[in-house]
Amino acid sequence: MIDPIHFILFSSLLLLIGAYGVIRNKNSIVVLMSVEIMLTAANVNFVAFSTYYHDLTGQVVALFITTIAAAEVAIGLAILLSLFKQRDTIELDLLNRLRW
Amino acid sequence: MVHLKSSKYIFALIFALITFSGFSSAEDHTIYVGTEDNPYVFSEANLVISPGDNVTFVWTAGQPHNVAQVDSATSNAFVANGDVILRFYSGEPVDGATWVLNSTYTQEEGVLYYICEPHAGLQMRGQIVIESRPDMTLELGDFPWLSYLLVFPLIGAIWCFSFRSSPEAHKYIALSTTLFTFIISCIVFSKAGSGSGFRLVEEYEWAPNLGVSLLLGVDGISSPLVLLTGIIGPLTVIFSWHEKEKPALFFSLLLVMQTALYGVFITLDYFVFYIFWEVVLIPMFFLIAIWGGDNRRYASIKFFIYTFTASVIMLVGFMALYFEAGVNSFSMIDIANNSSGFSREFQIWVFAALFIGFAVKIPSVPWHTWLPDAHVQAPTAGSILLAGVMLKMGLYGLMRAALPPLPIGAEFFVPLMVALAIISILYGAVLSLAQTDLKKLVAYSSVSHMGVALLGVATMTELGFAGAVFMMFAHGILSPAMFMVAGVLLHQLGTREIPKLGGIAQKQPTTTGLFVVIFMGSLGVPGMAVFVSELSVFIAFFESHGYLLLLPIFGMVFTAGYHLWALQRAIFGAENENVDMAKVHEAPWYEMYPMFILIAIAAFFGIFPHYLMDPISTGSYDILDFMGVI
Amino acid sequence: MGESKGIPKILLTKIGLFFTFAFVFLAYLLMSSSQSAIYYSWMIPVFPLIAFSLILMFGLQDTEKGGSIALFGVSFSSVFSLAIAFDLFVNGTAHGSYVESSRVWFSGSTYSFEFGTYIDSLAGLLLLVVGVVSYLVVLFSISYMDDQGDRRVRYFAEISLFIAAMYGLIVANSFLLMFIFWELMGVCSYLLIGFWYEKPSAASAAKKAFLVTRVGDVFLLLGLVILYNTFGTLRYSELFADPQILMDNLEEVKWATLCLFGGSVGKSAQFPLHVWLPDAMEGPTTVSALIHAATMVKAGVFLVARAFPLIVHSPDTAIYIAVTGGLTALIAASMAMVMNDIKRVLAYSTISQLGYMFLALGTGAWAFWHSAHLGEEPGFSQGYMAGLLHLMNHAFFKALLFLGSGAVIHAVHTQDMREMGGLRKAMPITSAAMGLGVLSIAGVPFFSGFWSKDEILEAVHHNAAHEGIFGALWFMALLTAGMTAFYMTRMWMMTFSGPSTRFVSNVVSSKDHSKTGNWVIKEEKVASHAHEAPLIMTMPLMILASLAVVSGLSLVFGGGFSSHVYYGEPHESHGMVQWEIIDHILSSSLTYLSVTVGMTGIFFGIIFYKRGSDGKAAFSTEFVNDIWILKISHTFLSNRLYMSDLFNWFGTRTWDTFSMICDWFDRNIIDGIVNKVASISMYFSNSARNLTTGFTGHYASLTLGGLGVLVLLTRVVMPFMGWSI
Repeated sequence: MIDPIHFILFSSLLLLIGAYGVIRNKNSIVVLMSVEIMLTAANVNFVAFSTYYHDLTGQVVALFITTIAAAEVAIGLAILLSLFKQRDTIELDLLNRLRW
Repeated sequence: MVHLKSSKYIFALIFALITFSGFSSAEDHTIYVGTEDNPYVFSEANLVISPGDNVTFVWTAGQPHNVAQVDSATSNAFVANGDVILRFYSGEPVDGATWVLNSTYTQEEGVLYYICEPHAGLQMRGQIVIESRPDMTLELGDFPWLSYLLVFPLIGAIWCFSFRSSPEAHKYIALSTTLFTFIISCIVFSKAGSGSGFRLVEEYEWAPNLGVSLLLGVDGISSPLVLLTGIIGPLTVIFSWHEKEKPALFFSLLLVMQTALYGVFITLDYFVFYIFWEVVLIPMFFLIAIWGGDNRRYASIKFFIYTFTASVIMLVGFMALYFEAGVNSFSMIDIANNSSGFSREFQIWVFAALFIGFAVKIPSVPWHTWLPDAHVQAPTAGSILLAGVMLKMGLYGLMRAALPPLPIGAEFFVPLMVALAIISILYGAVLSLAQTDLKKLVAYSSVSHMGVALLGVATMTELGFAGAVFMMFAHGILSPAMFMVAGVLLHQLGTREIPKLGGIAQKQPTTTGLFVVIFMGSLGVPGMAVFVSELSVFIAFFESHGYLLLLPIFGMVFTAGYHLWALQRAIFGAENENVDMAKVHEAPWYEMYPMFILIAIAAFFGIFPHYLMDPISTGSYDILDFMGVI
Repeated sequence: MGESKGIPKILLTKIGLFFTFAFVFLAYLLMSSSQSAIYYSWMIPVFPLIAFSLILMFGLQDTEKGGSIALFGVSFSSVFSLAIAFDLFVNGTAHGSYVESSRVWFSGSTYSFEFGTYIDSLAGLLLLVVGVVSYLVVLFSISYMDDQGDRRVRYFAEISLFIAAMYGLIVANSFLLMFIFWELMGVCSYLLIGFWYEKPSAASAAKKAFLVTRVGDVFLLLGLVILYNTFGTLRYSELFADPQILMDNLEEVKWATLCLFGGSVGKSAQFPLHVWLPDAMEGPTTVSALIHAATMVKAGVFLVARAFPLIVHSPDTAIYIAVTGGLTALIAASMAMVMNDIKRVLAYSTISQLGYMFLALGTGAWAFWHSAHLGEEPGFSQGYMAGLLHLMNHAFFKALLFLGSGAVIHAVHTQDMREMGGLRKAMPITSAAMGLGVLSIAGVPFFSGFWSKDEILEAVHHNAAHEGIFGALWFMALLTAGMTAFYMTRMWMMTFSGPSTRFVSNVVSSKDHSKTGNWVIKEEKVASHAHEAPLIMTMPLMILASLAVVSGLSLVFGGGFSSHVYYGEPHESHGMVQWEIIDHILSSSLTYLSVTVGMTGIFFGIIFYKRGSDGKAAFSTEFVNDIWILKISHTFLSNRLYMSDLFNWFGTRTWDTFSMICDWFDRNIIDGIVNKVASISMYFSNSARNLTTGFTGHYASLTLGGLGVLVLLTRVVMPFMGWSI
């Protein structure tokens, strides 16, 4: 089979890309999308190892993650919507009231 | 909002429940008849118990056993039940049972030998050794006086607070609660008597896995302090009778403080001691922060954080004691009993940690600077509680929690304690001379007096300890009186600055008389309690440190100096133009009576000190005997 | 002041009634228990104490505002005291030993303190003295203070408390109990000196008195502590029981007795702690008479006499006591010569006479030690007897002089002697009584002072043969005797002699003692409105005058003072008149020397200060200003050797500055550290605050960074370091 290291590398890369997106993006929706990417990375990892160890547990978890990701995005977008109604913007640079 | 009518009944119910609640002071022991490894032994073949404890035998293995008393460790001749008086016998051998040894058998000291009948030949025998703990004996109580002492003020506080919308009710509730608690404290004091050991002991299990239990008890040292707290309680309420701002909350906080203070003095468990120690800080913090002077935020936060930090260090010490003693119990008695194995290094470090915690509270120079600010900014009732009772916690804690398990550590630190005490005495007196605010002057005089008490403890003699505890009591009576004087002046003239006062004696002769007596008592005139304690401490100090006594004894001159200077400048002499003479009048009843009562108490115990000295001496001797110093 | 000469009927009834009650009560007690009065000595302090409480409660209702209640209390205690003195000296009960009763005050396993009574001849003597003087002073003050209104309640209460404390001190059975009453007397003295507390000078004088005596008290306490720690007890009976134990601990005995004497130095106003007594004259004159002449200041002498069995083992202490006494006597007498305030003269005179007593006691102790040291039988201690005889005499004539001066001040409303004169015609009884007092104190033959002074001088001279310093002391004492005669005569002459119209002279303000020569005589002859004091005031004067004259004769009449009050062996008593003592005194050349010196002093007093018909003296003292050495000494003495100023400066200025420095130190350094710690943590918190920027991006990066650090730690650092989780 394909050497697991490739999957590990791939998922790590995806994770880092997603992380970078979370940290650096100004647009909240893009941040949400980056979070999705990170979740996808975790998914890839789970599926890869499920295949490698011939244990279905990983794929079940992957399904869980997908579901939860969907739910979380829905909630996140709802929060963003009400935030937009309050502050007329979704740029994270401008949303810093919860500070010292 | 708690409804007024129903709250009455609720609290009545709670009182009733508490009254009928059980108590336990006798311990339960379990012996397993037959273990997994060997079905023919008793799990504890040599059990040491105290008189009055219960022993339960529990069968385990699948063999028929019983328990029968025999005469000696080697005899096999059991005696069946009913044959001779006072032999215990669990009955014919059975398989699997539980049998409780009637506690009447365990009342007296001695050794009870028993065997299992059918297996006596296999040496299935054991013995129960009954001995009263020679060090720190406990005595059973018959009515939970000490729990009442804790619970009453707390419930009174809640009750008082629930009446906050009413204009007068909270005052009366607070007064009645404190008076009632005072009566209980008198009863506790008289029941405690002057015998050796702890009295009125109650134990309520809290966290058996940790070994924490609410173990309450008083001995010769704590009963006078309980009495002191009881005396000061109603007086603070009376003195604040006309408090205008948030009075219900004020009185409730006073009552909560009462509970916490009682808790500190009567608990014999390190964990609970620490809890009450910290709980004391909270109402005091609020008292200063809400009803205090102009700089109250600074003073209250400083007071809280300073003492709290020191207590945290003390907590580390407590934890160290717990882990090192290895008895899985936070009880002071258990840990002290198992303290002979503490190494010298351990004792020194732990005593240092505990000493820091207590020294800040005493207050000992150089950790005293929280006191003047706290006193100046606190309301009079707060100062009274602070100076009257709270300061005693420090030295009491030292004697109760730090000395018995750590004698070698204490011995190591005696020179330091002596030095700090002498410095406190002299430094406090010199600083009092420099103050213009009367309350700050009294605050530094507290530092000086508590220095005398610390000196008494540092002598490690019975007379010194006795003098120290007596000083705690005496100072706890006269220092609140001095603060009341300051309170009267502030109340009448709006200022406590001595240069701005003068000549008030002419308009208020009776009050001046009280002032003079209070000041005279505080500076150590015979006939009032402070003299007896100073005398004892100085004699004991000469006994232990010889002519070093010259230093603290000259503190007496400075003490007289600043007291009289304050009297002369503030009260006698010609009228000061800053003083509005029209406002000067005799103090009102709610300020005069507490002062008078305090003077009477101080004079009574100054002339008849033995009422206090007897229990205190016994308690001191016990501690020193336990430490092995005497 | 009452115009009537007689004592008001009500008061007379009260006096009689109280005495009757007292006698009846005493008789009842003695009958019912058939024990000597000595066994009831514990009641003596209790009576004035009860009076104290009663005055506080009911004083305002009394017509005398507490005076009759005080009189009640003091009558009882005087009757009991006199009964005990009678028992001791006339019946000879407990001759040579003591009667003690004791019970435990408080105790523990390792210590015990007791209280109780201890009556021996020394206590009996003091009881006699205090019994008489206290009663007369209270009687006197009922009239003297009658213009004070309601304040009299406080006065009588405080006086009663003081008398109770004094009696307590006398009958106490241990040094501890004595110390307790000693301090209580100090408190009462404070209250009474500051009686007129609205006067800043009075409040200040009271504070000074208390603080200076406090220094002495501290020494006394130290002495007690040393004694307790060495011998395990403070009771007289136990301490004096076995001289061998004392001799085994000579070092401690020495330090303890020195410290005990330190207490006496404070309380009896000896050098250098004498500064409080002249200022204490701010109080009412009756207070000065009772406390600062007859009773409280004698407590120091009493203490030394009580501790005599200890002091005889410590020659250093004995010499120190004698030297202090002699020096003080001389210095105080020299200052009395230049004082213009009549009460100040008497105050310094008291200090001086107390010095005599200490000189006598110290001498006696040293002589006793010396003969014991040489292996001889010490026998009778002349110094001890002389000192106590002088104590008794002095109590009487000083109380007389003070009360008399009180009457004078009451009459002329001034205390400055330069404004007095010619009162002899207006106040015959007072002037005669005071004249007798002056004669007594000056040592005129056959008056009381003569006997005791002579005995003292002789005792000192005796010792001079063995130890040189006593020679110097003898000379000082002789000089002092002369000075005493001089200033006392001066006082009497300035006050009483001269024409009956007074010349009011314009003097410079009385605080300025140094300017003496500025007399500006107003050419104004003011008819003196002074008149004699009412009978209630002159009666005590007369009684005291007669006592002052005859008390010295107790040495030679009756059984003889020296056969009752003695240390060591009593002097043999030979019948009703002790001819041999009289012979001895008359045949000794020392006697004639001292009498001559005394007469010289009187002579100079008369010629310089007896007022002529123009109100001025025959020989003026202006020459003092011309001779510079005399002027300088005069200035020094008038300013009291600048000692008060030294004390003030040292006491207040130095300590004030020092305490200010300490306060600064406390606020800025010690508290500064605390605040610094707080501000450091505030600084760190404020810096850490900046992490919470509000940007989610920052938070996310911190989270991921933390994760990375964790991974690094667990996977890289820990295996590298060899740790395990």
